[in-house]
Amino acid sequence: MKDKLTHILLVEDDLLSRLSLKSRLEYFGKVTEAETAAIALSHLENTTFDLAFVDLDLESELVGLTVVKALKAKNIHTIVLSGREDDSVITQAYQLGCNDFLSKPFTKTAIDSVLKKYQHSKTDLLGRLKEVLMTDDQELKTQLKLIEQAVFGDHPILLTGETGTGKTFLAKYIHELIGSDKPFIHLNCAEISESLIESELFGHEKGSFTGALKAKKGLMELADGGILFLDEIATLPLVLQKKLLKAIEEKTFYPLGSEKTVTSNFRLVSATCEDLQSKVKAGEFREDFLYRLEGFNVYLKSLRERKSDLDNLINFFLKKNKRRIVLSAEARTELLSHSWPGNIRELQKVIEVLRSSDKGIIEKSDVTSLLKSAIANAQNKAQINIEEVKAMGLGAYIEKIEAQIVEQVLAGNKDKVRKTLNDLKLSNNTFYRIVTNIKGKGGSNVEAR
Amino acid sequence: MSKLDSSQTDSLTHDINSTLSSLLSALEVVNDEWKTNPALVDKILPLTTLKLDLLQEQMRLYRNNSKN
Repeated sequence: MKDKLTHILLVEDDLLSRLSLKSRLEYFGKVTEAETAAIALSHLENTTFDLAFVDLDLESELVGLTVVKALKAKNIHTIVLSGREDDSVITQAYQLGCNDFLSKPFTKTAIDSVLKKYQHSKTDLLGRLKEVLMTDDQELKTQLKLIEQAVFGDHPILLTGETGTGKTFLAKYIHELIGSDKPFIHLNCAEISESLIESELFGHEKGSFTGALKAKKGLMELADGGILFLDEIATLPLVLQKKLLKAIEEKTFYPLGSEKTVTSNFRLVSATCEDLQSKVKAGEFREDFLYRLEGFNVYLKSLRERKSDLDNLINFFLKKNKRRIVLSAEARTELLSHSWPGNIRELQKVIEVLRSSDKGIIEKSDVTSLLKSAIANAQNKAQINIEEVKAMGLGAYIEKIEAQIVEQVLAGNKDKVRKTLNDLKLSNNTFYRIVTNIKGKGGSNVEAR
Repeated sequence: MSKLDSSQTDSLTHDINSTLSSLLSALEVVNDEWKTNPALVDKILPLTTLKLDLLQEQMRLYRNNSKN
């Protein structure tokens, strides 16, 4: 963070505050002090500054506002510090051109946050985001602008979009932006059973449940100061949504079996390819939890919705490996006209397969046969009893398949519910819904226990 | 003691916020620097003590005003 080229003007009449702030700011740049507005204005006449911290009440009440005005005239990034709680003063400071208003009392976290914001205001963050996602798509750029706004705050970020659109990639990039020296803890909620997910997230004490042979820190604690990335958040059980909501709001929680709270200042980034609003309506997702997750909701478009980016993406993946291949014009057209249901992940895989072939120049026929086999695979799966699906309706068909799978796995597990939940990565709610359906239709001996 | 008017109360609130801010920042610096920069900490600590006394006085004023 140290940037000796940054020249900071610190305008503060209180000696203790000035000393403390100066020692903090010296890690960031060269600091010039002023204890009155008159001294500050005189410094401004003679010296060039990049950044200024200004207390509003100096030798007289609110005289700091005149310094803010002078700083704005010189286009200097200005942060106001004040113990005043009146909105009219805050409005006045912003109208005169301050960039941030810090309300006293504040801690070093607030100072670090505005310094980071300043540092990144000098870099073209949106440009970098556009570059990493290789997009010129206007709507996607608008979404990326949300990340630009969100990244240096502490609100949760929710990334939505189809599978393969780059949600995990973007979460990792957000981590890079806030500081790659901080932890990045990634949990795919769908890949872990309901019985384990609570202890994974919250941690546990020794002996808090069967198998807890020693105490273990939870992922939320490990993410302290960094990012907790919860992928497939839609699959998080309702009861845990409630617990997690409390932990996000209070930044403290109890590990399983512990009476001592743990504090963790993690930033939550979550992702889903599901429509969470529909899940709320269906009673499968807590509305209050969704509101909390949606601090900044960034929708990543599918590849078929941003076809104008496709050519650039193809070129990028072609150049990504030292073994270079080239596409004939017809082969490229073939790739450009594909619908890419698996999005960027599918595109990347197709290019990798093409590269692994013996050919250096890829012809249309190579692409066609590769895409055909992918489509055929997808269609074969979809054609299972397609007539039956049409007759029954998709919802009823899915219910039937769910019931068959649950009955089969449960029987194989000698009716052990927990093992079945683990094997199928099902939540209790979903399992009992399926079982109730089976029983309602006079199904097998499945009992919810 | 007569009750403070609204502008005096605003001013006292501002002063308390400023004093708290000053103390918080000072203690953070002491916490971060007491091993590495004792000279700075030596400068800060006596000022912190004075500031604590000031806070006590401001709090007393605030409480008395609230009671009236």
